[in-house]
Amino acid sequence: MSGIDKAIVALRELDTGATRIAIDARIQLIVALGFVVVVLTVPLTNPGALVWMFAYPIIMSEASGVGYLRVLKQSLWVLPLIAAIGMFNPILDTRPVAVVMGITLTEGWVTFAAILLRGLLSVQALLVLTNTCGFREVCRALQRLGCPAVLVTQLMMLYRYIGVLLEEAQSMHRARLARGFGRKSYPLKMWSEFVGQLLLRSIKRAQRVHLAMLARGFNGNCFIEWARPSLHWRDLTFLLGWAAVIIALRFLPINAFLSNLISR
Amino acid sequence: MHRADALVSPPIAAAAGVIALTLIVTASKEISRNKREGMIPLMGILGAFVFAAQMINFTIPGTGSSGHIIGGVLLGALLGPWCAFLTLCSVLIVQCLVFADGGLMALGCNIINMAAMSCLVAYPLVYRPLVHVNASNARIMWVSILACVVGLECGALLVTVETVASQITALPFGEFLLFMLPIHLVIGICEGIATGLVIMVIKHGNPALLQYDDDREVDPSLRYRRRMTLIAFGAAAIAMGIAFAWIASTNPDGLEWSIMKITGSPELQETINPPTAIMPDYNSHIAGVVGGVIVMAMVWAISTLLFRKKKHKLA
Amino acid sequence: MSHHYIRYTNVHYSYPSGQEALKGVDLLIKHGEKVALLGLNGAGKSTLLLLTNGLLLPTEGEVNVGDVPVSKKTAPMVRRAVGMVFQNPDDQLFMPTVWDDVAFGPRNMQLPPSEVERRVEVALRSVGAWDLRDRAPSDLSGGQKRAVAIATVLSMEPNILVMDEPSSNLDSRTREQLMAIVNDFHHTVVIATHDLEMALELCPRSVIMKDGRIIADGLTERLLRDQELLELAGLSLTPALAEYVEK
Repeated sequence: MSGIDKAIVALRELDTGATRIAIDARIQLIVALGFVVVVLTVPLTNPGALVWMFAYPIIMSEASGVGYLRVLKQSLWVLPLIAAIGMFNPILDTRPVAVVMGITLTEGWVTFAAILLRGLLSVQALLVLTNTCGFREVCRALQRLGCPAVLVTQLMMLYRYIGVLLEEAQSMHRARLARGFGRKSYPLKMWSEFVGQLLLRSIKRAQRVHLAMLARGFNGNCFIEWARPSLHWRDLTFLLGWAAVIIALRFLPINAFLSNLISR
Repeated sequence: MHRADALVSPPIAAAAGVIALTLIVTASKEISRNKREGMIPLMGILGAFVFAAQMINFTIPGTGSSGHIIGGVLLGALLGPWCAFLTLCSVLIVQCLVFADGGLMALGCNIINMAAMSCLVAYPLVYRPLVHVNASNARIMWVSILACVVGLECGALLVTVETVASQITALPFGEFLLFMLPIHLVIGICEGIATGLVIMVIKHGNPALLQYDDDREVDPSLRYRRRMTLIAFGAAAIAMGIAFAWIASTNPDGLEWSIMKITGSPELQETINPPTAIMPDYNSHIAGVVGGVIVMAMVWAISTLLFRKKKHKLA
Repeated sequence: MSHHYIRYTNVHYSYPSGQEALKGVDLLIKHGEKVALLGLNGAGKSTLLLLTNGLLLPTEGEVNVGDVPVSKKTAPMVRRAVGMVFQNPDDQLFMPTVWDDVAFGPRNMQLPPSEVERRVEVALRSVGAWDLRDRAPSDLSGGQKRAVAIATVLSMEPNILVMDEPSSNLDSRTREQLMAIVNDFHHTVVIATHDLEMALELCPRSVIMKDGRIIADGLTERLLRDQELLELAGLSLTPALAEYVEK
């Protein structure tokens, strides 16, 4: 159940903890998305090129004051998930590609390493985005980029009530703990009672929220309407700057250059 | 079940993203067209509910491990397919953006595998035709299990197709499928039992909430809607196929590589350079990698110092 | 709607489940009055408030706000005149930021943006929450949430304010702040509560309800002295209040 506590903490941190940077969220969203696309185009046989890509999450998280250590910690949990699928590669693909200090490196291990790095990079890009913009700004950006209003409204409502319902679930769980229920997961019958009650309560809450909306003149029109602030020169600089850096990191043969430098 | 970014290639991610976006736009239009905006508070809060419910684990009988629900069929029973789909999408998006669960590129895949398969396939094609207002508890239970199994197996099939088409894993399609399907059968049965039990609790506590199905049966646009669903999936399947063909044609090396994996044919193996030829290249490569790691460490250290200083100045 | 009285004529209400919440209520609340609705949970206070706003319609009898009988057709108009503050601010604050939430009502009234902005600022300043405008409801304290919830209604510039248990879960400081806000509101106020102290301080007139009926209506001070009546309604005075009433 520590999952609930962790989720509540994560939500709070996102709401209050992050330092924002003064770049339009649309631009940040586009840069993050572009970054992930570029990362995915790096061939799996070349994990070396992926190492350079870490420049983006490192610089962004430090620049915004989030701190790369936090992003790194938050991103590490994806490793087992990716490893579960990637682990077949070292087993099945045993062609040797290199010998390092007497150990033969197989292509399977190389691609496995590349898969792990890819996973870390794309998750870190996402963490950087939400940490520097905040969820609400990302939503606004989504709408300005043309997402349907119903979806954006839905996202906002969902985000608004996650914390409320998590706390409700937590207090229900604590009440059970207080009555001597000590296990981590519930037997199915008890679980369904718990979740069923939570569901009934949630629906009652939804009915009250709906009344509160009607009381203030809600007539079914989607009510998220934001002005479209124009982009500043600094937004464009940010976009072009990162585009140049990311493309350079991806396509310049930095590794070859570096190894030449070292071997010389 | 969440797909991670590392496991899809850009064309597959893009194809899935386009399909997911199309479905989202269709769902949004359906909701506006049917004047179902009154559902917005319910959808928002049920989304938050699914989120919270996914944190509460149940014990899988006879195994000692634990699981949680995805909730697609349950949402379908309460909200109807399109509202349920959009709700589950929003849950996936928040999990992706806030908790970095899954990943931005894999989001489209996740939406199709999890939200669309359960809300737009399993619910309207399995659950709704088989469960009526006065259905017995036993019927609710077995139909829930059937619907969840169908939803999850379809999802598992798509996961396999997406991963193999992305050429990430060395595992061939057939074996991968044999690995995925039984696991998801077990997960589907558990999800189905859990879903059935919760629906029974709702039926006992406030049966009016489940009468959504009843209203919908009268709706003349129902058939149209079902056809739309099928068309959407037909389109999805075709788009996937095209994406697959495109990769195969633009990246013959990758395909060759996977063909060799499956057939183990020596003819194809010959086309690949002998290992000795790659080695020196790779050795220098490793030097580059070590260099890269060192440089990145320096970047971190420098940017930390740089921005810390700046903050002090501001303070 | 020049005279903002509220008139309930033989109002009955049954919920779809068959539960009879109101069993014939007759009541007239004049413009500018501050009235407390007292009674236990389930006495019918909340139902009466929802009927005032047209969120529920009487199964029998009539509710009039000003000259307008509340019906499905007039409900949107009535809701502009009657601002309702719900018991739980978490149910009332559903928008991403405080500012958006306070602007929700005026935007639905389709006012021009400049007017929306003006009203939001006036409403937030009047409850002392202007500094909170960019915050998310989830990071507000209980008292701040309550203040903002009231602002969301004030921004619609209602002529009648109805509040459901506004002082529940509030500490003494925010409770005082709440009372100041209500005191500053110069139109009609109806407060459903079982906080007798607040009723005494804010509302010269009280209406006591029990089981869907009105059992007493009069000066708050006089009603709170009537031990027998309070016992019948299931209400009890706090020691401090008892001392005050005896004087």
